[in-house]
Amino acid sequence: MRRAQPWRKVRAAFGTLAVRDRIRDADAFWHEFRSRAPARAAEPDTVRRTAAGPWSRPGIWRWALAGACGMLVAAWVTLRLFLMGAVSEPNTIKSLDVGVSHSAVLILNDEPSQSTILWVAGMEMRDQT
Amino acid sequence: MGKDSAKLIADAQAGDMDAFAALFEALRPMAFAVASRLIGPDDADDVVMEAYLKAWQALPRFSGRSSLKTWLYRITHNCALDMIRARDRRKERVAQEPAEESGRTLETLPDETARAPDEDTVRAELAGEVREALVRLSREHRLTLEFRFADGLSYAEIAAATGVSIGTVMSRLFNAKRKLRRVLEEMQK
Repeated sequence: MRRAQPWRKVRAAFGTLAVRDRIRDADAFWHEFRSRAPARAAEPDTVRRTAAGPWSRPGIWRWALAGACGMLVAAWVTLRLFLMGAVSEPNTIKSLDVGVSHSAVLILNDEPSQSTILWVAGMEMRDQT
Repeated sequence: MGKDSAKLIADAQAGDMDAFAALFEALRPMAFAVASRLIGPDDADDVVMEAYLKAWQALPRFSGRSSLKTWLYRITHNCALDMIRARDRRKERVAQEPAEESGRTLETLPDETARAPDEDTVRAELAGEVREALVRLSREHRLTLEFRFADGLSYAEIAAATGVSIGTVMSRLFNAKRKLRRVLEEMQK
């Protein structure tokens, strides 16, 4: 059995594994590059999109923000219309029965705020019946 | 990054192809080595050309957060993967092509021992053993060892070339060295 090789020798052996000897001549490489690069520059670039994904594009965020704002406005308008519809019936007092003796009844209708104030004056707090 | 490099990058970003060539010619041997290890020497030059064309296209957005080398190796890695996928799609799996998932065959590895001088037979023998042992390792371990010790890439560069994090590179390197030693010991018994 042979003795195990020290790591420095093993590491030195890696020097023989270089694969750069088959590299193309620089002139030939750059000649081809120069002939192909202008056409490539005119194409849409896909490097960044494929590397970072669509969320890296600033336009996405602008559209997302605009969409979120639009949804908020739509929700607010819908809610407001719904609530206004619910309270749009005018408040009317069709009959009034006061269980104690009183001197006067005053009904105030305020149409702009759609509110009604009912004022009963001179009520006897003791039941007369 | 030196002042000259910064100027060359700025010029290349502005569309100066001579500046681009001046910057990237020096990186071509290593880009070739990266491509060659990922896809094999037969297609490595095509991968490098594609990577350089993409780099030319994307250079205006290069921000300098990583080194130019690391940036280029990442592009080369992506181009090699694209080519492997295209190759798979075409179902042109040829036995002697080294881009198979199982890794390269012994025959396709550069056979330096054949050219080794007679007086250095011991070193040549060890080199042959290392080559043989590397074939027995997983593709990830073999690539990591080759990038590190045959090509001299830094951890960050290996991470870019293999598409993993630096921590993974460190972990793989530790395990790969251990496995390589074990395989070498088994071979020497």
